[in-house]
Amino acid sequence: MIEIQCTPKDNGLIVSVTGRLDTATAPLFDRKFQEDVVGSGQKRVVLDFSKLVYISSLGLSSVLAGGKALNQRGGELVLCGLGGMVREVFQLTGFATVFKIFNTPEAALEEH
Amino acid sequence: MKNIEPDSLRWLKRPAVRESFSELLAFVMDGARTANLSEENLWKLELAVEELVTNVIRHGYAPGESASVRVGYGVSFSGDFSVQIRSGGVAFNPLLAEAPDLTLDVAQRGVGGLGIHLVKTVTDQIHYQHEAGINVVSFRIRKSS
Repeated sequence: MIEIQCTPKDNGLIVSVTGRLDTATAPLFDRKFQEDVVGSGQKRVVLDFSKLVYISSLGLSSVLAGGKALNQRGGELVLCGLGGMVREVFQLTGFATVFKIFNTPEAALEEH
Repeated sequence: MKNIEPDSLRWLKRPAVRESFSELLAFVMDGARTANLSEENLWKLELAVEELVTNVIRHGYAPGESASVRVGYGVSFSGDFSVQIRSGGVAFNPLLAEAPDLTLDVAQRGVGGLGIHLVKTVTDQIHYQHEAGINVVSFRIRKSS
């Protein structure tokens, strides 16, 4: 239902999320994000949503909580690869302006 | 708007607990696929059902109170897909949740009201009523939308 893969780069961490971020999977996302992303100490984090096919409000809450956790440590969370319903949900909720959004992980790390 | 007659819908009743959620959602989504809803209408429907059913499961009942949630769907002659969610517990109109401020940044932004805002945005003719001790939320997904 959800797969989360972290790829460290010289200038930040890319977190690829595959599948769905919803009521069923958000608790796992939250745990992984806390342990592997916030716990890594990386301040530059890109959430790659190019393989995310569905997100609900609970998923948005998780993304927001992740962004806040990084902010509190002087880091920043940016997003890339939003398509289909994920992009629409971000627009409908105003989340598209809450986070910086890029087309690719490379562009997101460069601009960071 | 005319009320949807419960008898004209197909129903599934389950205990109002987390474990019921997947089955209730699958029940409605199977019906929607059979009714040939578009991809866009499928995700809109899924979003609305997820938000409203989890809302009942999380907030609708006092701890330990044994309770159930019923989900029904039907397709009108015009092809609109109708959904009704019925639950007991205290009278609670989820549609009255305060609208979120969509302009705040990461640090200030909260998540209160976000789910219901989404539901209102992606559904048509959504309404709530409290009838004979039952909370009833009804909505449609229009075929053309």
